[in-house]
Amino acid sequence: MIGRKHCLLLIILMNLYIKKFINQASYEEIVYFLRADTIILIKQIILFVFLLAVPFLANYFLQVSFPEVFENTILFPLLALLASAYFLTIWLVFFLAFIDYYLDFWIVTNDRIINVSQHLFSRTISELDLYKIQDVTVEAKGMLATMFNYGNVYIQTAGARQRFVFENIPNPRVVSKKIMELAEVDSKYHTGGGSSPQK
Amino acid sequence: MSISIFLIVYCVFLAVFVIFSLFAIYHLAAFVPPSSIAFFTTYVFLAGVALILFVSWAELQGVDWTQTLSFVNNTYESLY
Repeated sequence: MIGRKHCLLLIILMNLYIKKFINQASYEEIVYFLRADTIILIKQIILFVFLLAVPFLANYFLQVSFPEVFENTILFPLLALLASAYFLTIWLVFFLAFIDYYLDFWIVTNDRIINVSQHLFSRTISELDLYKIQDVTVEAKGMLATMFNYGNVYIQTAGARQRFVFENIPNPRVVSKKIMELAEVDSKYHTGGGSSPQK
Repeated sequence: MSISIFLIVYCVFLAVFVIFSLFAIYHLAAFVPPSSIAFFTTYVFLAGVALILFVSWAELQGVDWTQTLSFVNNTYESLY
């Protein structure tokens, strides 16, 4: 019961956050809140576990083949410090990869697309009006992308920013189809060829 | 030159590590949508760092950092 209440509270807080973040207009409706597919994070975790195993394998190899290294009063501290630096580095890289995954997102509304891109020393927030969209392309490269149904969606515009990319999102075909539909409705509204009941 | 030079290089690395970590934690705290994820991941990250540093410190307990570093002769002789 507490878990459900907690989840509900988080959903409400999340919705409030998105509304405030995008400065949502009264007619605007949030259609998608997208992040890269979870498989991207799982791939990073697998890589991290592999990198974590390397020093242990090296340690085993040294103990079997060159046990004298551990008796050496100069090599041992050097190797221990190198191992420590290695573990700290991969731990930090994994943490940064998680932040990059978690803070990179796209919000699609019935009026615009907002792209939030996070890097270590920078954060970019860009916006694109749906009526400016000229073409939407889907790309699913590789066996994993096909198996787990994730891929890139490229949005071509006539504006200064030529291409908008949703990277490794789940269900890219469904998303691209929906964006094309939304762009068509918005375009009709902006050219005066149709009416949008929301605006 | 004593082997404490290794420690100095390691401390420089730690300083860079701390700067990058602070940037990462700041980004997570400042920009993450409301959830317990930010707190949890920061906690796990800091716990991991503490564990690595503790194990490193424990491993290096008995090291005499005043030993002279002589690359060719000492290392070779002590190995063989």
